[in-house]
Amino acid sequence: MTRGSLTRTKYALCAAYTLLAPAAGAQARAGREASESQGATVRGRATSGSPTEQTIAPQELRAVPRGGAPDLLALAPGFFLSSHAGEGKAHQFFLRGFDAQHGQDVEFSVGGAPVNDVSNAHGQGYADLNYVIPEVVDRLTVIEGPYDPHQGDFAVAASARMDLAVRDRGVLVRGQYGTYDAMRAVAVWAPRGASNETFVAGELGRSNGWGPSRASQRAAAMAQYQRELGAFTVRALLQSYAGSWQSAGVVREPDFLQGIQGFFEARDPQQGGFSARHGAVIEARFRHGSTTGSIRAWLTRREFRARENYTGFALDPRGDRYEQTYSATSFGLDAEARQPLLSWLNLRGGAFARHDVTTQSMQRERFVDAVAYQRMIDADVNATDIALWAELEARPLSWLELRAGLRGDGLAFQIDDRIARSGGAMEPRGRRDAQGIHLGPKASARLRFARDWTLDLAYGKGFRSPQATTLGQGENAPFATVHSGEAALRFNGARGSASVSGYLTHVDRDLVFDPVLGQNLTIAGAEATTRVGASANARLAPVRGLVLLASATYARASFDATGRAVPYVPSLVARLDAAFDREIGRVRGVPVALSAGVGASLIGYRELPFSERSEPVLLVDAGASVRVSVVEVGVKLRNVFDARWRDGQFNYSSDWDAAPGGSRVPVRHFTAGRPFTADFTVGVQL
Amino acid sequence: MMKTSKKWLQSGCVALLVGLGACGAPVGSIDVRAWGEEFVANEIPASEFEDGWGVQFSKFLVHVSGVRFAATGGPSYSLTGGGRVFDLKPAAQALSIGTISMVEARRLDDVRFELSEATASSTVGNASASDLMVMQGGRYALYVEGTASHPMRGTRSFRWGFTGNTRFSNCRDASSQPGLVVTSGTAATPGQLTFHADHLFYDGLQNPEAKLRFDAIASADRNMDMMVTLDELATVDLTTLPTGQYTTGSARNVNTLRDYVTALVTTVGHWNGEGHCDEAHF
Amino acid sequence: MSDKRWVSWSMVASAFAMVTVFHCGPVSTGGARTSIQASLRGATPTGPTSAGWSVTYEQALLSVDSLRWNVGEPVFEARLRQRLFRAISIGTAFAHPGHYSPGDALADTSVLRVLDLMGPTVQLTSITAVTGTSNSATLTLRPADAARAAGTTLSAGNTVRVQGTAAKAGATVRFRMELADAFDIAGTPAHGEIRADGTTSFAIAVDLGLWLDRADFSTLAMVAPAMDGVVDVPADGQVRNALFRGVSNGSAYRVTLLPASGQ
Repeated sequence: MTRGSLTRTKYALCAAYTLLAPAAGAQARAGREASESQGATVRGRATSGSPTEQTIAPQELRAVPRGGAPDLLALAPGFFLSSHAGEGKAHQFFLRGFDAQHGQDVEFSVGGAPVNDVSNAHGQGYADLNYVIPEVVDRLTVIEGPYDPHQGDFAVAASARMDLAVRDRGVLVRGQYGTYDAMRAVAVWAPRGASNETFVAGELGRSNGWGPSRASQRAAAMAQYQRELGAFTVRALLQSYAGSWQSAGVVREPDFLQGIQGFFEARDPQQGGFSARHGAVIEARFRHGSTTGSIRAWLTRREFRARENYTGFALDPRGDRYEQTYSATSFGLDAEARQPLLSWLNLRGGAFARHDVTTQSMQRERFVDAVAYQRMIDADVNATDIALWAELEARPLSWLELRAGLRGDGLAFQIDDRIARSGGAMEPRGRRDAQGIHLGPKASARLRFARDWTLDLAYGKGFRSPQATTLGQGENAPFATVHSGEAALRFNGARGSASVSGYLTHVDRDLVFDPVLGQNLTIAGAEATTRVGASANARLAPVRGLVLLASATYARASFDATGRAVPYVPSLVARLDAAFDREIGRVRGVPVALSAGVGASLIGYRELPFSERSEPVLLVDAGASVRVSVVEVGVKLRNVFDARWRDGQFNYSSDWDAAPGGSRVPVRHFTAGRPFTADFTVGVQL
Repeated sequence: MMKTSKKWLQSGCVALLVGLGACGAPVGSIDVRAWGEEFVANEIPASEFEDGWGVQFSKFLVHVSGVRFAATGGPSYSLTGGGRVFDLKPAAQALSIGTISMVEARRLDDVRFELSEATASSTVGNASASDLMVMQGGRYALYVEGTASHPMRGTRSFRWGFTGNTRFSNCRDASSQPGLVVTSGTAATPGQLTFHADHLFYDGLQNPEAKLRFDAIASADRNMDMMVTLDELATVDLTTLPTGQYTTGSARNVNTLRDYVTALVTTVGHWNGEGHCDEAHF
Repeated sequence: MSDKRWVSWSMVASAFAMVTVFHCGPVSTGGARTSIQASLRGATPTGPTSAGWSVTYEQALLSVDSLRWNVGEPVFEARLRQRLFRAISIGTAFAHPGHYSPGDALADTSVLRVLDLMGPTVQLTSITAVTGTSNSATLTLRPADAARAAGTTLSAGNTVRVQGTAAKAGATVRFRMELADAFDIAGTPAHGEIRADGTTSFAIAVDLGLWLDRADFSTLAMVAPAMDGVVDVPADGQVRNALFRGVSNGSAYRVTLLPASGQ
């Protein structure tokens, strides 16, 4: 066998594994790799199906304090999460120059089930990850850009997938208590002898919140079972979650400066919300000859309610607080397979189908007694997304790997709009239906040179489905279409890895948050936007037990029509995580381990309307724990330096005085960022 | 095995390419319609009025021109044939006034039309030749004839012709969606220029709480011939009417009932029923 | 070269790339906070009214609460109305039959005083504003309380006071009246670009001629004057109706953008 053919074989095996992994779900891989991989954290394409795919093992960095499972996303380059409306509401995601709001530009999946809400009245693609118990997140896989044909709706800026498994088998019971009367209890049972993907976990939490109107509660349960059945590997996941939160809302900057409103004070104490999610996933992975694949079915029930007030009384003297509700029953199928066609050519393909039966509403309510006085949305939306995709992977030369794929999505919407027509008529707007097709070609090339170096070039076209209530009868559903190109230089060494990439992304129908209307809107005459950015990340494991993870992303986003900057997008997001976890000795024969971690986030300025910029923010978290035999005691410090920072920042008009006469000129508003908190943990691992 | 795979692969690629190539922009057509709704075809019932009057039109002539459908930054389609006169009274249903074919099937967000003065080059739509002559003779954009009835005050007739050009643009439908969604296929997408005749009797020019009234108009019948003319309306100064009625907002030079009714003409044009447009004189 | 060094070099290269991106990026979201100036004065009639009366004012007082400049186009104006969408926009539903939508506010100020329209021009400075194209203005006129009315001839509880002489064809009437109504003057044309440099200035002239343009003072002929010879206009008369309509009409408030200094 020649060296070339050997290399090709190696590549084929690698690629086969790569392709199989996402196809069959990373769950199995997680289990298999538990013993063989002690640390591969941020990796390039070594085990991926997309040139920009990066896999992170968050448990390796668990010493770094985090709020919950959504905060794990900060480990991926360029991700910044804002929690401006209370703990319990979905985070606001920023990455690669996108203000992805609550998920409109990022496709999320957990355990094989999609997370983004279709046509949620609060925001298209709303993705509430709070239901995920962080202790059972084994792998976080992020595909930046829309370069993989498996990526579907909402994969405008990226896709993020959480795979669930527990490597530390046995029973874990952990309690946490901290400032602001925050309590959390979690229990995980991972039966020994079963695969890593088999576990039962539960979580209860509550907090008075760091300031008025910030209390929250949550309860979550997740159970997963996986076993081999002949040629099949079967996995079933059940989960249930309910969370509620209060929100302090915005602080009007001039009022804060004049002492009218405190930094953490709430002007409207009736803000908050409720979110619930109940779901099931069943998956079968199979091998038939040289063909491998998987088929997965999922069912999800969602309930959501949010009450927010950004403008006080500016729109109506009765009060501007709005309530948005959304409930949905969603189910779908996701099947894919991979087959070698030639020695140097593989075919990957799959089908995806999803149906959402939703009901949504939005209404304004009186400030004093919360009685609704104006209904703006009252609709049932049934949405269907059916997709087929295929990708050819060729390795014509030992140093060259090519991929070309195509994804076609057919989306259909049926809308029953119960809002009365304009002009004083009583008749509802009635039923409408709309349908559209989106074709998204993808292509990439990987050039391998030197021993550990690769150069990746990628292009992809992705889409975001429209908010259904904006569609007209018979409208050819106007997708937001994204074209993205990327070049990346990657290094993968034994003790470290690094990559540098540049990208260009164009969105033809972008959405910008309008705090006054509480919705994301396209801006007439300036719908299209372009982002140019660069990203770098590196991972080092210089000594045993120590892992360093650093990333930085710089992006500029602008409107094509005006050349002006897209508001609210952070220019720079940098993150450093350092975690040390190692047995340091024995006391009377009992092993003692020390774990310590530091995480630092630097969020650069954000462009705001009227040529203003928010201030850069540096946040540092730190934590440490000592593990003696089966008992672990630790402390988690968030915002160590107690930086008084402004989380969400907006420029718009508001008036918090019910009496007429207040100014309507736009002013700065902000939501107060999390102050210093300390939480103490005690855990037992049996 | 490999041979079979190759064939399979080739077939797949061809199918993909054909599929991609077949995805050209679909086209449809627009059936442009005009209607005065039941208020013109039948009557404006007394229940609509604040003061007990009811109105029945016998003629409602509109001179329509400049009908255009466009997508921002995209294609634009116009109804050809120049200005035409339509009588909306006999139209029990929306009247088809023309079809625009080969229209890209998509949302055309900028819909506009004009209610403009008839000229020598104007032609008849469904109106009679004599109607056309009336419109051309007075250079009218809108001409209405009708009768108002009141159980206590009897009846008054009116015959009013209005000059002036108004462009209705950026029309949104009753769901506040811009323009018109043209669907592909053989069935034409209807797009309706709707004329709200009741607006001629509103008592506020810039008032969301405006009411329909006819009392003051009936009282303008100075010569007691039971026919209220525009000249008679011109003799009624608004300052002789209660201050809460016939408010003018920021409109200039609206001093008499004639000025008032003439100003209201610019608000009659609507889109697809209750949809609104921006209005502009030109 | 060791892994560590490669990683270090990668980070340096990425920093370079980011600096490059930074220099290619857009400048800002556009627009700016600024301030404007406004002057307020009464414009006395320059000729007879449309009813043929020559009106000479002795007093003209107006209690003003606030002024605001808006993006929204006025209705009934001979120009194309434009879309109101902006990055941040307060949506306003259309209303029958006049479709005035104020849209975003660009500038506003609380005046909260009684203006003597026969006196010197009142200067309002440092009015909070943002850049943009103003198209209309709203004025809020409210009855003055005792404190606001103190020192003026306007009686507390009233919004407007006029006193003067009307003459026509040898007939002369001295009149006075006050209005206690609240007025929201909306959609007054107020076109002008508010610039970022803080020098934008508007002149607001209250057209006192238009206030009484439709008044028929002959209707006061049968009303006995007060001791001082001045007729107190009756509440239900045509003249008061004319003043009410004149004051409430937005076109009586002429808002003009003053040329930038140096032009």
